[in-house]
Amino acid sequence: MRFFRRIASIVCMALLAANPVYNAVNIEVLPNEVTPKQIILENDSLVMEIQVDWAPVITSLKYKPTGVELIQDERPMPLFGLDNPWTLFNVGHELKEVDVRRSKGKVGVTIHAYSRYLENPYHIIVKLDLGENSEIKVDIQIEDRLEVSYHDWYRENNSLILPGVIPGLPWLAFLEPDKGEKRQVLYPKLDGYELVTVNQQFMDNYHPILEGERPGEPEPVQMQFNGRRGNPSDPLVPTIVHFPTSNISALLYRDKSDLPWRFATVEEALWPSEKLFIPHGESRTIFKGTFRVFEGGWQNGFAWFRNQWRSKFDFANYERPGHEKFDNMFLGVWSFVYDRNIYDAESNKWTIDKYLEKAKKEYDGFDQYVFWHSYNRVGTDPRDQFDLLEDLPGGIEGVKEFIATANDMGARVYLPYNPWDKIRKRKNMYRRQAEDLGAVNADGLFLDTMGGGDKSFRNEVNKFDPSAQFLSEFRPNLEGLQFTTAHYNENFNVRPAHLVDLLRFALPEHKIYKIERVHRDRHNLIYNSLFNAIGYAVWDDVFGEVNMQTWDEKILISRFNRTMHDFAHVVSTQNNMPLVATYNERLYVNGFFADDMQLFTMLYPERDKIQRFLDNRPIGAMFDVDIPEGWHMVDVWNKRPVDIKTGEGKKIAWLRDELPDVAGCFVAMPELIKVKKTDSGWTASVPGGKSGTLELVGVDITMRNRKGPEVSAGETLKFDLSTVEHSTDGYVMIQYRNVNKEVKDVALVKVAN
Amino acid sequence: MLHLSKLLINASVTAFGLFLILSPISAQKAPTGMVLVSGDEYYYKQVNRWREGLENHEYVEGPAGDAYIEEAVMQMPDYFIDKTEVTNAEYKKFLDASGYKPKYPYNFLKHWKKGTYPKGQGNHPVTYVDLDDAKAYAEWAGKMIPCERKWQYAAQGTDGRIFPWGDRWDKSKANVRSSGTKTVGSYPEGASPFGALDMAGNVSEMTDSYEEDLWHRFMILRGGSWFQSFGSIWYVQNGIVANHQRVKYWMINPGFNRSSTIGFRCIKVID
Repeated sequence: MRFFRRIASIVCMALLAANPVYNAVNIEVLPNEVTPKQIILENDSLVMEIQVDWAPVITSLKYKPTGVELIQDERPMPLFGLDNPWTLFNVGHELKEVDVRRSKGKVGVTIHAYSRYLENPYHIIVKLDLGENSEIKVDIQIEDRLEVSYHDWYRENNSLILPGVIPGLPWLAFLEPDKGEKRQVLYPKLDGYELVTVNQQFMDNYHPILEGERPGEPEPVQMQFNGRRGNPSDPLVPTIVHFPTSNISALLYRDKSDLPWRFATVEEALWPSEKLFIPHGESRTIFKGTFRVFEGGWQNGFAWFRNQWRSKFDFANYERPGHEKFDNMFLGVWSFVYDRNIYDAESNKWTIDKYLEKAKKEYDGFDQYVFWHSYNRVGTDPRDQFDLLEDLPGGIEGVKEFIATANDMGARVYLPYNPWDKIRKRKNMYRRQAEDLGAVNADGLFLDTMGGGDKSFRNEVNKFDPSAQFLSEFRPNLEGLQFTTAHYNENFNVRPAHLVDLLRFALPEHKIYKIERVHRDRHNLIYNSLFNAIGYAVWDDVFGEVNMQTWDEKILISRFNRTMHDFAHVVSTQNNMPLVATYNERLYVNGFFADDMQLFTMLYPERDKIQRFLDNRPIGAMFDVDIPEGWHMVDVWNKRPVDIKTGEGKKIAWLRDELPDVAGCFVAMPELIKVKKTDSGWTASVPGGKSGTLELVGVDITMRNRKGPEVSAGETLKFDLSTVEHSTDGYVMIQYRNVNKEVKDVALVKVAN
Repeated sequence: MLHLSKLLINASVTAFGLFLILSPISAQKAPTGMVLVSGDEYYYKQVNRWREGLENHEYVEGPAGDAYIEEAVMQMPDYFIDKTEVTNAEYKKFLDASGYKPKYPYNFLKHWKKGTYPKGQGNHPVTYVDLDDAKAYAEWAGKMIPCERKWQYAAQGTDGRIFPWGDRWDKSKANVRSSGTKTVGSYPEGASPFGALDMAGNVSEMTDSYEEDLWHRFMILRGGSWFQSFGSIWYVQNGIVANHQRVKYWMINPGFNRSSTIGFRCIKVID
């Protein structure tokens, strides 16, 4: 883990080096600071002109490194919008005061706007500060400053008028470097995030556009970062607008706001507009945060946010000794231990060994096992969750043996913690749970109904097992993520398979498992786990109600599990990118980049819905890749080769045949394995005296891996295709694993028809 | 006159016929400690919360909570039911006579010391027994554990009442929300229409509605017990439980299944 953090620091340093620090920061006030009409803030990155003659507006905002002007002449950006709902008394804010600040490496201006009329009690204060890069710190406050008696009189006598103000923050709505061009917007929705393309109509008319009024645009991409149970003050991914033609973006990042800062539509996100009640004599923060202009797509803005957030994140619990045992876990199960497959009533014995053996056959094995014994039994009598554990077959020793068996078979076991169970009114539930954890040697705790653990719980657990992991039922708030290093990302609604989990990209150290309790069809969830390269948890016995994974889901899970394990060292890298640009707007690709390998998970969710002869077929050019000479590419999900086409200074991942599935997993890597056909069969070898193993992997008709013979990497693997199972129209694979069991190269041999 | 005499004759014949029909019932005297449950047409309605387990019955969402409702009209036979829950003393008698030993004794009669029940609790309902322990007793006594429908009919009668004594909860008629079991029959006012006592509270009662699906074993509990947990919606329904409500009781090992709040009573069929 420390190694990854060091790499991250190096990446950050490299980014900083690519964006040189500027020293020249200047502010100019015209004609003078006593009666200002125009203010110009400038550094080597940005120049911003503000007119304060009447309503304060930004008339120019230029990104100097590329010379892009983001404000159109005829469409200056209002510094704020304030719609006083007392329509008849909408007397505006005609009075202005401007304060200029200068300090080392930073300049700033504060604009006060208010009215001389008592009908408008609201005093607006806008502070802008420009430092040494392309960021402007923004702070907008509104204060109610009217004398009490007048204020109350107006409120009491205007009962039909909403008691508040509608502030506006139209910073992003007015940016328009390329007039009328489409732009991509990432914004925090009420439930998650959305990446949407906004068209010409929006910019021309600026009115809310009804659902379905954006013809020809791809469906918005849904994203996720914060948990359902997050704190309102948790950081939100910034609102980001990307202008493809100029390849420039701007973001607005909230440090603090009294507005919820989540939006129902993209229009609201670009021009936030909320009713806000301001009690007499009080003030509200409309927005305090950062406005930043940068080159490239929204992913660069997200990377900026990620670095900001990570720099304040405490990784101590991710770096605890022993915690690395949770690193390569991808498949879990939430198990109801009343299952007869786990306990045999005749012999009064646990049968976890048989259960896990079956899971090995069906799913390629569970890495993680949530032991669930309390709900929906607890409450029948005064026994609480801890008493019930003691009364299970064999008591505490029996559970301990159960866990040891599961550990031997590769599964980490989590005891449940039910915070709501207070039958016994125990003084210290955390301590009691930690004692049980220690007594049965569990690997971690499953935090039922919780969005993460806290420091005091962690401290209690540390007394018994400092390496134990917290796995919460729901996504923790961002503080809780520091104590809870894994969670179940439980969905209650049907979500698209290509839902992007931004948290996974921001904090790859944290383990996420997708799980579903409500719906029967979980194909999308499995594909989504592959797409985000996160975990998946089987939940086929929901507190006694069976919702079995179907046979084809089991196959998918098995393939997913094998793929993730083989390439865990790549997908866990911090060098990643959500939604790599593709040549097909219906194709979604995430990228994961290690020094010696690159992995791209991909989804084409509409594959089975649209006719084959229409455009946007998943064939030919897929996406650009930046890989060294001598590397090759394989679709390890579908077991097919991927071509690398070069031209115009680019390398493109190219499919000769249409993607044969909704999903793919392209891996680019150095070509280490040499395969030859000889008179007596085939040979494969890894020149260069490498250690590890060379193994022949068959592919059955369900596209699952089938183990074939293997030799040490120093030897030549001689094989005959008849010795390994393979589907008749596919390939068999030869994999080279290093001593850490990481797959470092994959070669394909076509099976002759 | 002739007409009148014909009528008298017919009436006599009818009365005699009725006597012949009814005599097997009225002639049946309830065994000691049991009451007669007279058969009748019965509108059976059972409700269980969704979190007690999904059912194939009608799913109803409402202010009282989402639940499954099972309804049926059935003809109930006559049978006898224990007037009270089986007591510690009765169970000891069974043990002494039969020498019964459970296959897995963990938690079996956990509250007993040195082979007998706590002093003064001979007439408390026996607890810390599982369904096999209960069935062994019933077999020895020549009785049976009731299925949940027979249990409910004995508690409810034909008028669909919510509690054994009527439709309104009355804490003076059942041992609920207390510190433990009480002497059976302590609440004569809480009698069911057939005279059965403690059908609400004291101990939750096992029924023979035991099932094994491909994955689990479970039985149905009825009647609620002295114990009620508070503070969370996630607890199993307990304490005050209406005639028509059930608890799906997931089973693992006998030691786990035996409980301080669960007992049983028996029925006897009438041939």
